[in-house]
Parts: sequence; structure tokens; C-alpha cells
Amino acid sequence: MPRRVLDTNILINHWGDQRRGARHADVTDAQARDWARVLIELQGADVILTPILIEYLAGQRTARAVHLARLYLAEFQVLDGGRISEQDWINAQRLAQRVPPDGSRRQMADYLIRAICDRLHHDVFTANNRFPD
Amino acid sequence: MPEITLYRQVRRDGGTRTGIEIGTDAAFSRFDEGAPDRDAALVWYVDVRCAGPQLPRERNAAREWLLRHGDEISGLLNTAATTVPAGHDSIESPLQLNGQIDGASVTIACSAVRRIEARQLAQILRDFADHLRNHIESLQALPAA
Repeated sequence: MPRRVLDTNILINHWGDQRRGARHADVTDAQARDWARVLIELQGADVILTPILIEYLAGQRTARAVHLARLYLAEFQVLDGGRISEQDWINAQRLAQRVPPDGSRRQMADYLIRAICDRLHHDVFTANNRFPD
Repeated sequence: MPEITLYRQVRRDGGTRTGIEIGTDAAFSRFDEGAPDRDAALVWYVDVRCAGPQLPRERNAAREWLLRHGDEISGLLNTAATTVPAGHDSIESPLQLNGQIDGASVTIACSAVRRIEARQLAQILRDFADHLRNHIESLQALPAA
């Protein structure tokens, strides 16, 4: 598949679109897996990164939601394999030191994602307008 | 079933990545650097997704197949350009156009961040169509996995 990482917000938005307000208790395990496959098919990409996986899990509010999230995420490949290098941290720190014109707060995960993408020669597909410039 | 994907994507820093994937094999790629301040966030991508039992599985044969059918692929890209609806939110729902080439199903998929307007998206598709052959020929083979 193309060298394209799907950002957390793409995963979240797709999940929300598929769920259409249904309670987590009413979502089946099979649906969680299927919805991931639909997204992979739609975007032509099946790659995420460890910070994206953690960010997604951290957004879940119940044990059932975490269970479904794990099934959903398991359909994607974690490109970095959980190995974040020292250079990734150094690059993320370097990027984080650039203050945007509006002085807004930045998210650590965004910088780490960008640093890992650079190392692994991938680009990130994101709906996040605040992804660091 | 064999699958070949030709893709082109542009980042916020202007960096442009073009490649051919054959199934899970990242066979050919080219990355043109953008601004020195690197930013891996994408502005848009276009995929030409091909699937069919008769498609070649070997790298050079796959590239040859794309070149041989370049005019038909360009035709699909140009058709897709005419179908971009105004106000289409392609980040959530990529624009898709399906066609058939030489017995293979071919899908043009195109997505862009919200700041890209429909007419810009159409121009992106037309540009890809116009320079398709050059893009394919300029790709470098990647080491086999």
C-alpha cells in the first residue's frame, strides 16, 4: 500500500461515522474489525504508528470501548513496531521548540508522529489542521 | 488476486512521493524533497488502484503494464477530474471513480485536506493524467523486501 500513515483523527472520524451514535454495548466485535477494513479500503492505507495507537486508546472512556478499539486497531500495521528511536525523540523535541505564529499549545504525539514518518519515509494523512507546521 | 497501485501524494512542505506497489511489495518509489523545514502531513493523494487476475506480479512487468495502459489510465483520471463535486469533503470520503482496463478493475481514488477546493482537486487529477508516463518512468526500484 502507499507510504501513507493514517492519523488518529482519521481513525476516530471513521469510527464515529460507522457507529452513528450507537452505544458501544451494541457494537459487535465483528463490526469493529469490519469498520477498520472499510477504512483501509477507502483510504488505501493500513499503516499507523505507536503514538497513534496510544492516542486512540487513551481516548476511550469505558472498558468496552477499549476492547472494541483494540480490535479496530489490530487490523492496522504499526509501522514502527513499537520501536521509537533516540533520533525520533531528538527530532520531535527540535520540532516542538518551534512556536507557531498564534502561540498555541502543541501535542507531543504530533511531533513524534512527524519524526517517525521522516525516519521511515512515510507521509501522514491527517484531518488535523494543527499538525505542526 | 494481483493488485497494482500507482500513487502520488504531496505534503505540506511540498515534498512529493510517487510510487508503485505490487500487492504488499513497495516496488518503485520517488521522493522529491520539499522545503527544508520538513512536514510529513499530506495535502492530497491520488491512487490508481488496479486489481485483476491477469495483472502481472513481477515488478518490471507491472510497470510496463501501467505504461502500456497509460492512455486509458489518463482517461480515467481526466474523467475523475470532471466529476469532483463542489464542496466535496474528500478527507473523510475520498473521491472514487471505477473503470475497467484490459480485464482489470481500476479505481481512481483521490483525497485532499479541506483547504483544497474542488477545482484544485480537478487540476491535480488532470496534471497527473498529463504527466503520467513521466511519473512512472522516473520511479526508482526499491530493494526487494
